[in-house]
Amino acid sequence: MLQFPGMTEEDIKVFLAEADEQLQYLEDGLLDLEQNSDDPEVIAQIFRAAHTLKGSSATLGHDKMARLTHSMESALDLVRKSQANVTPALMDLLLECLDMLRILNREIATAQDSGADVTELDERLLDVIESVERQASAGGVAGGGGVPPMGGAPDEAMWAGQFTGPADVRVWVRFVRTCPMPSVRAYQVIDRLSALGTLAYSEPSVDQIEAGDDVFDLVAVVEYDGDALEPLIEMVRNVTDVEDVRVLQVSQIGSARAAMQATAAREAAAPAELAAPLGVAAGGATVSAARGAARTAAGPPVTAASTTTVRVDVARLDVLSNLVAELVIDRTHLAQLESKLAEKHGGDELVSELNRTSTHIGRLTTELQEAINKARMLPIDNVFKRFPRMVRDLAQKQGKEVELIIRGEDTELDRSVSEEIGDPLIHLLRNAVGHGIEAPEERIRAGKPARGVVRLSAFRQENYIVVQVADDGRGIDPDLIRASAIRKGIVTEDAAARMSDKDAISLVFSSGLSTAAQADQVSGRGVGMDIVRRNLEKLNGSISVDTAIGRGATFTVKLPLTLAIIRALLVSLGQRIYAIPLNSVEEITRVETSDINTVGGREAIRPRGEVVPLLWLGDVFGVRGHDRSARLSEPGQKVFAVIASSHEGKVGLAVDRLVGEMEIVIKSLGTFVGNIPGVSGVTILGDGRVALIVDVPSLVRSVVDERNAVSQC
Amino acid sequence: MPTVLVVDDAAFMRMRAGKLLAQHGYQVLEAENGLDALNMYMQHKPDLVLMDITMPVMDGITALKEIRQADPQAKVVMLSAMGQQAMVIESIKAGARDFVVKPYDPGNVMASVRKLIG
Amino acid sequence: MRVEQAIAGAEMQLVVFELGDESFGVDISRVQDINRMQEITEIPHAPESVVGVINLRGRVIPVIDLRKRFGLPDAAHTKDTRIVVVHLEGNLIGVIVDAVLQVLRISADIVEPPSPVLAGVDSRYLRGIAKLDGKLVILLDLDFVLSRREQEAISEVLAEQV
Repeated sequence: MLQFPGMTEEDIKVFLAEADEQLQYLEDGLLDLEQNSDDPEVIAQIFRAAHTLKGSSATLGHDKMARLTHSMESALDLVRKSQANVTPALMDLLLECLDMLRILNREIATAQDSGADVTELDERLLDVIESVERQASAGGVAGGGGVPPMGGAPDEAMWAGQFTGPADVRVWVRFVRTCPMPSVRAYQVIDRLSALGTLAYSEPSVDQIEAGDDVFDLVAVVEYDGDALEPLIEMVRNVTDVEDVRVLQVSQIGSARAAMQATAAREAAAPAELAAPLGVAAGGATVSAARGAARTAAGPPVTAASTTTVRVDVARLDVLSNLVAELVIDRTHLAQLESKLAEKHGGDELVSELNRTSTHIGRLTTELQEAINKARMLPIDNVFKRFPRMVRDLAQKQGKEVELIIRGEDTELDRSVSEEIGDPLIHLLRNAVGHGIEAPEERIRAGKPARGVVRLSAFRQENYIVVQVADDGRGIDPDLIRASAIRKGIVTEDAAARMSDKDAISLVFSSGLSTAAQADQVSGRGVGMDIVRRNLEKLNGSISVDTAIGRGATFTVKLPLTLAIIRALLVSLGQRIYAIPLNSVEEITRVETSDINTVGGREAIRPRGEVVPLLWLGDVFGVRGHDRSARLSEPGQKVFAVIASSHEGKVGLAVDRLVGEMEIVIKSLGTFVGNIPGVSGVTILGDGRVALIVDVPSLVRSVVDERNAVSQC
Repeated sequence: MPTVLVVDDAAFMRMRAGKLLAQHGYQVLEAENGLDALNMYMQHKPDLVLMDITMPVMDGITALKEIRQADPQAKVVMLSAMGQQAMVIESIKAGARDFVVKPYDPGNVMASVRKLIG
Repeated sequence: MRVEQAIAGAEMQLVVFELGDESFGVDISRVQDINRMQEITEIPHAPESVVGVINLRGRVIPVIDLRKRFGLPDAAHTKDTRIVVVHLEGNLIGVIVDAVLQVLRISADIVEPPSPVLAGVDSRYLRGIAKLDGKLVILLDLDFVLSRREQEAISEVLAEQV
């Protein structure tokens, strides 16, 4: 069931009657054009018909028709300006578009979505436009020695500014057909709208209007300062020769906005990137998906009828994932705006309508995200399948008998995770065979079967994938670890003695400790458990161990299902915003400066009686005015401390303010900037600003290292 | 009785407009160029000005600007010929409330006048 | 070497920008786009000339201050200040310049090798000088200018040791 919010039955009737007429003009014009391809009158007629349909369908809210007619108009404009020739191919394309428009018109008449997709036609039109523009830009530059000064991309700025605020009002004005100087009338409307608010966008643009192009339909988007729409409508209606005025508030143009932005985005990105993966995400191979795959992927063409799956280039999945990630950011921003609005104008009908729309967009985004995430999923078997051979070879080399039992190999995980999880698992398996499982004679002496068992299992736990490597070997002896750690200077004898067995065992994950007397070929020289843990934590994962002497050890690796999106706590230092991954946040406390003690030469707080070292984020990141001394110099100053933890311990991060919780998309700082201590990546916030993601494990480590260094002195 | 100042260098045009306005009960003043119009405006403060664009001595747009500067509330409707888009836009920017294109339909002129001064 | 290539290529198109009193040119094929100054997120402990990162339509890209790189005095940003986004070894890098002047098409014949000392800019950063109507446009070797991180890191270490 198709719905057009804000439109009465009569509106739709009028639309349909006029659309029929315009489609007829279009058809007559196109057939005429085939005979007289250079008649400017004919071209102008077709152009006007496409233009009129565009304006009306956009106002009605039929996105597909608006999108297709927009591209048709752009292509026809090039013909009109003699920049493109009427080739047989273009004629075919335009006639195909006409057929499609009739289908779309029927959608409106029957209020039923036909399932028709304009993407492919739209892309072909864009290809035409792009190729002409490419030629034009190549030719244009060759013409003169210099190009006028540049100042950013005006098109980009126009799109970017088009729908900026929740107070956007879309105004559609039609002038009387017979009216003289419609462009000046349009200018009058623009003039009046500008007096009422800020003009964000108009079609045609103010420049085109001033240049005197005939304008019988004007679409303008205004950031409207007022509350009621009546005065605005009245002012526009008051302009002479205005036949009709329609005004839509932002919630009603949401869908049109999406279409327009989609067009803009496609013009910016490579158009071919989108068709195929969308088909896959929707769960089947549509004609356009098959076509896209056939056109761009390697291998023989696939026909729509015979395929139920389409092989998709990983790079294209990444493009899609990134786009969805951007959408998630926008959704979050939308939710923020909406709650701000709700605060300001509580019971307003428009606010609740915005709320409904934004909730809906939120749901759709989540579904889209899930669908794409699913398309990115691979069974972990891809990783596991090389292990039986590896374990067998390792066992043989060391004279051990080992059976590898694999469970949950069909558990699915994100491609990015599956790329990262292989190396840590290899290391854990080598350790299990090399250090865990005893030699057969030793096992027999201990009353165990000669053949040891290593269990590799995978399962999902909420938004995590958990992989366990369990052996029935000798287990990890906390006393051996203590001794080794003391010998290597990792802890003092004193500290080691005070340590619980559990803490001592955890030392296997600290730097420089290996449970074997010597690093050997089997356990992977140079790559210790500390590196394993560090790599996992970088991916916002974790590792833990559970062991009993003589009974074996179980290492548990936990990683987020996808590496791209995490939940984070946003905090601020003045105007700067930082993101702390929520999985490492234990709690948040407000501390008085008097609550801060000095323990072992370092500041610490005691939430719930436990001593937690305090780090001032302003000092860590060198933010002047928000560092420790600045904050403490204000008397009675309260400080927020985010208690964050990693495997190695906890740290309190002192910040100015808490901003909120948000889903963020992790982006790398890139190779040019490289690794920055304390920073694990960056993310783009809802308002477009870039925020640093705090690398909690490395901050905890810095405190631990410092403490150990002190205790060694 | 509201007063309308008709400014046009063609007497025929002034007459036609004058008759039309008088028929509808307006008091009519006439000026034959922009300078003349400015003087008349300052003297009589009419409720509305119908202003031709192309005139000798002082053109309509200059007169419009002068009048609007003297009286920011001044209501001016431009009388334009076909093909003068750019100039009409300029006059809208300068504060003209409306415009009528010649040859004009009497109904259009009156609609525009009534909208502004009832 | 590049100068020779350019001569063989006969024509080149340059984006010309201003820095201090000099005009610099970079090959247009290296320029992704030109942006107005926008909010830059500082990156702590980054190499000195890396001012921070910006959001370029959903991509996070580092921005370097060419004044710092060339050892020129700092200047306040104006309405003419631009971030020129260029390609470098598969990455995009933003470069802050005082103003973008124009796009020029020049004949490679008018490009001369750089003189050793010019405006205090290390001549290794340059690939030539184009003389046009009495104006000099200095052709930058972007790869050299931007990819000297290691060198910079080394000189920082050396500076600390002094």
